[in-house]
Amino acid sequence: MLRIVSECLDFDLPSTLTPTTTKAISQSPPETIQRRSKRSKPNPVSPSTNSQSVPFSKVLLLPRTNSMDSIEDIFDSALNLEQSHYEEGYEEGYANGLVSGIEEGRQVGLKTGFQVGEELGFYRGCIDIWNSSIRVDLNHFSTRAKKTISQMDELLKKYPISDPENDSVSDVMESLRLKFRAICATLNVKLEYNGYPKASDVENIEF
Amino acid sequence: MNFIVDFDLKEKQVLEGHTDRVWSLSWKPATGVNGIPAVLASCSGDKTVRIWEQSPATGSFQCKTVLDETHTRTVRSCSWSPSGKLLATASFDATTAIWEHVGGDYECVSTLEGHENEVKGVSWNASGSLLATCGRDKSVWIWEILPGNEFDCVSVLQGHTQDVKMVQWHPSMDILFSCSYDNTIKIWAEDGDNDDWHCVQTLGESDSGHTSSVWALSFNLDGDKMVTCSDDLTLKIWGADIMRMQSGDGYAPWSHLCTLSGYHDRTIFSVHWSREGIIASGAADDAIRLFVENKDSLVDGPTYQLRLKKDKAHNMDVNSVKWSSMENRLLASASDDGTIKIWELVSLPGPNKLPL
Repeated sequence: MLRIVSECLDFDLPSTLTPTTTKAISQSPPETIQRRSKRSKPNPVSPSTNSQSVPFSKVLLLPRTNSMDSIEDIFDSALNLEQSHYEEGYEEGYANGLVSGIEEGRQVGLKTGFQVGEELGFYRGCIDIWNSSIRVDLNHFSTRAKKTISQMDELLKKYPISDPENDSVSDVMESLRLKFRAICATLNVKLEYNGYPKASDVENIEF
Repeated sequence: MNFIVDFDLKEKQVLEGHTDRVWSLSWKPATGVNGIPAVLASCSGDKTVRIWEQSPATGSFQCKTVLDETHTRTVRSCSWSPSGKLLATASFDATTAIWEHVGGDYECVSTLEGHENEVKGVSWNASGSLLATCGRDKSVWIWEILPGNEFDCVSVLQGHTQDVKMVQWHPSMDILFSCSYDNTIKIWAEDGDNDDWHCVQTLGESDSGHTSSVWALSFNLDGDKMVTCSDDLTLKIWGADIMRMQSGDGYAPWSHLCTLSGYHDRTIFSVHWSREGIIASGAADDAIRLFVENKDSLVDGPTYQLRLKKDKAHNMDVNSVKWSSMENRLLASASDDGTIKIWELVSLPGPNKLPL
């Protein structure tokens, strides 16, 4: 599982596409846009605009008759040049952004998912060992420790693994972390792994 | 009825010995009375804790013990248990050590680990069964002491958004107060009896609270009022209907009663309310100030008067002021200059007689 994940993370991507970058593709160097096929029609997702341009005839107070419509249309596109270029550029950027956004999102999702999974798996492993130890010798842990371990077990089962957009994920994770620290303090052990998230910052203010 | 005339703080002794700033002091309970000499503990940036004992003959304090080679960094706070049997010391090395006086010497009988970084405060509850610690990792930990000097972690409380400077238990109820760099004071209580501690009230800016770091808090004798001091240069007095709480009527919230502003022009690091009702404050301008409630006042709620300002009490910031719990009216102060001073509150004859 780990190998597959690390292979996924080895995509060859432009350096701008890291999880922390929030720039849309429209701000990246022009080469990127040129590599993609030039679109003359707007992307189906974005709203089409050319047919809904501002009726300049109204602004210029020209009478609108059927016979003049075709002439109007020709002039419209010339008069709305700036507008239409803007819209075309926007649509192209939006479309490119969608594609790269999905890529970026996948990277972030993989990374976050791995981190969350690693932490949950770590807790699962610790709880399983502790439960086995309790089964072997009921009196090995204090009543309070046993109670906190079972509470943490319940909490872990409640974590919405398949529903990452559930609002309670950060709360459940925080509670799990607190319970874990309390158990470690009571058992007087220091359990960690590389990359274990800490609550504190790196500043060194001493007062 | 106690009447007190104008008073003064007489400097009785300067205790030297620490080789770095002295952060905190704690008077040992049940000493200084009944012929038992007064004992004071002090902790310092020099990583040691010193125990000072008053000589019954001369009345002067000597350093009896130095507790060293345990903490590997500054010892930031110390506190005796209510029985005086144990001393808890909180250190920047992220541990809290528990010391017991065994056979004439102090021995470290337990070490509480759990905080991620510097532990800043430690406090025993009134019965001595619970210990609270707080630190730079923004959390407050509650520990229970079990037979054999074993400690169980009861709860880890998150809620503060910054460094927690001090924790203090209420003098008669198992309610915990914490104050922080995030400008708030949080009150924590247990829900029922099952280790479920949570924050029952936050005293922030919107509750007429402090507008900068809250450094310390202290309760009056009855426990129905508390004073807090802050980097915002004010002292604030808060009150609650604890009769209601003690009769089991649920939690009574604390509310702001009074703000003492304009008396300090530098950060106030420490405040302590004596059993006689005198509030002592220690500030960054090296001075100690004494405030007393103005009972003559006709306005709503209590007001407080500055009764004494001891300029240049120390050569540097005053970090801690502590009244001794005995009737000897001693005040101890600790400073960045590495010294501890013992002061005696003396009454001066004068025309003004104000009830205390």
